[in-house]
Amino acid sequence: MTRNKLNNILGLPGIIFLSVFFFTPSLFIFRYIFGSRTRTGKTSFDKIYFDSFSQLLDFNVLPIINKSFVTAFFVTLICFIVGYPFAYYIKKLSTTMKYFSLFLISIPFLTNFLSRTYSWKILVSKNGLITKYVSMFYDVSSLLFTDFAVVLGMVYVYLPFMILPIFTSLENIEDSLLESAKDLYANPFKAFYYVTFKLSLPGVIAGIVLTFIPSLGAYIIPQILGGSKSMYLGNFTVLQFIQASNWPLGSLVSLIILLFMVFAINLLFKFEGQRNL
Amino acid sequence: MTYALKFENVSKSFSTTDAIKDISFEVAKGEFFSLLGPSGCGKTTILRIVAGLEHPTSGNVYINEQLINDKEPHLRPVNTVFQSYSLFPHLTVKENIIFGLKIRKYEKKEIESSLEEVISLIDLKDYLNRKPHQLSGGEQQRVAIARALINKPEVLLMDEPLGALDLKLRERLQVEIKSIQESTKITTIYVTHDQTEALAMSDKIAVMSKGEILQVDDPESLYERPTNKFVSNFLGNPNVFKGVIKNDKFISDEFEEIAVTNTKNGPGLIFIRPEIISFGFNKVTSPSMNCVEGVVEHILYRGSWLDVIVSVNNTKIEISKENNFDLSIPDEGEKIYLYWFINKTWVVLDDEK
Repeated sequence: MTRNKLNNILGLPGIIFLSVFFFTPSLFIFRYIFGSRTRTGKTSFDKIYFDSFSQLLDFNVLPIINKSFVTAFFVTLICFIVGYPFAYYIKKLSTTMKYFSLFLISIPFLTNFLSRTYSWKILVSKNGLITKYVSMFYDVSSLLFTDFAVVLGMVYVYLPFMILPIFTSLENIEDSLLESAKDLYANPFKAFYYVTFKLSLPGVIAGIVLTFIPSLGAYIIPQILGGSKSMYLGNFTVLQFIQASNWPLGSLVSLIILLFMVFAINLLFKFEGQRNL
Repeated sequence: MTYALKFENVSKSFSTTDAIKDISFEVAKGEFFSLLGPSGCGKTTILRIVAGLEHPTSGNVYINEQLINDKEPHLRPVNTVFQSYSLFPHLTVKENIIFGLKIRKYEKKEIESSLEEVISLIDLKDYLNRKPHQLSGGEQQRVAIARALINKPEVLLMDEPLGALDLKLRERLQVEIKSIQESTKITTIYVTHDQTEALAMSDKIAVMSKGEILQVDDPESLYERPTNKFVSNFLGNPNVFKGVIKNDKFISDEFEEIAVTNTKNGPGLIFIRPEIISFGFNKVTSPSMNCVEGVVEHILYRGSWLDVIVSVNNTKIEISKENNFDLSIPDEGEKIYLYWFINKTWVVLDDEK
């Protein structure tokens, strides 16, 4: 058997899995877009319908898209501002402390996602710890069901996804490169910017992708911490599928989220690719 | 004489160990100065102290008469060529080379002309737009040298720059580095553990061991007249015998009597380089020569030279002869006479450490 053939076999399980559980459902979703919701809540496929498109316009989803984007943007930004220095800090720790910190960061993953989000609900509710603290400066009685709570909850959940790839790329930078930058007249700030930061960009980009994309399509956090009135792309989609039984519209919104994500990833990788030419 | 670099009683310790102990030396302007010694002898520490990447525990370091002990590395007029090259992987060859000028905000025109100049010394034209990982080790090291040279440092520091390269390439780059240094007259500190490299390239060599400088001299003096047991052993591959010297005679278990010159009496070592010993099939009697009788044990034919291991009174003496294609090569087991000039045997007495 040639090496190439063996290689193909290694990819087979993954290819089969993704075909069955990702590409095929994607095709179903695509077909659903052109269906029509009947009175009973079933979807009719007897011809090509464009109902979902006109409903999309009727629903005025633009503010929802806008809100989701702004939220995802701020979540990503905060994760970066908090995560980068933290990743840098961990890199500088001794080997034992380094891996201990990484262990601590991954502990929340061992706890159920729903219960973690519900804990946040307690913290931001009327007598919650965070509400009490914030009310010392602002006149608020509860932070629950605010955008603030949603952003807070998302930053909490997605922060590790920013820290870990940045840490990995920082970890791969040889100390000797910093020494040679200093030897070539770079002060500590310039040495950081021109060497450390530039070389950590692949990690930054991975971190941005890994936080921005789930933030954009988030469902549970907006649902629990944002309440039913605050509408994000994620819960809007779920609403269409579950409550309204409007699968065509739900499918269309899913596709739109998917396209946005593909576009965003593409943009980032293009930027990254240009640097490496 | 004006110096470019001076160390004055410099010591450096890392927590419990002393990397270098009370080091003093001067490097003249334009000199090619090598620090030679086995790994862990502290030569790289000296280089890092000059670069400012380490700070001395005690003592003073001067560059051009200026005390620079506490100066940060980016404020020092020195540049380093690192052993691991340390090229910036995200920058092209050109961006790597001009890094030091760009950081200091040189004008574009100046940068371009400096680049031209350095490329005229080191031919890198074809590589300028490549990334370091697309270059071979030798090419990467030439980029690293260009990156340091373009800044016209007061002192150029080279930390085993050829250590990772194969022998042929190393020899070629030795010539290249030496000729660049001669044409630019840049004061160079060159760290190496390779004695032939140090001997071939340097104006002066400091031989180091265990954090101390044992002898500083030009290559010829160092090789032919070492004053120190370690230096004698470290350079070349001399025949060493332990015995007692009395009235210019060396006496040991192996030898009845070997004549030496100009030495005090006492226990000590004698050193005889393999290449100064001649051999023949007849006894040589001359007042200026030592002559001993021995039996050929092994002949190692090495191409451009010949190693002959001779057993003399059950001890081995190595002889090394250049191959002029005209040698009468003795047979193994044959009896031959070894002879060498008395004044080329050198002695290090035990009290001279």
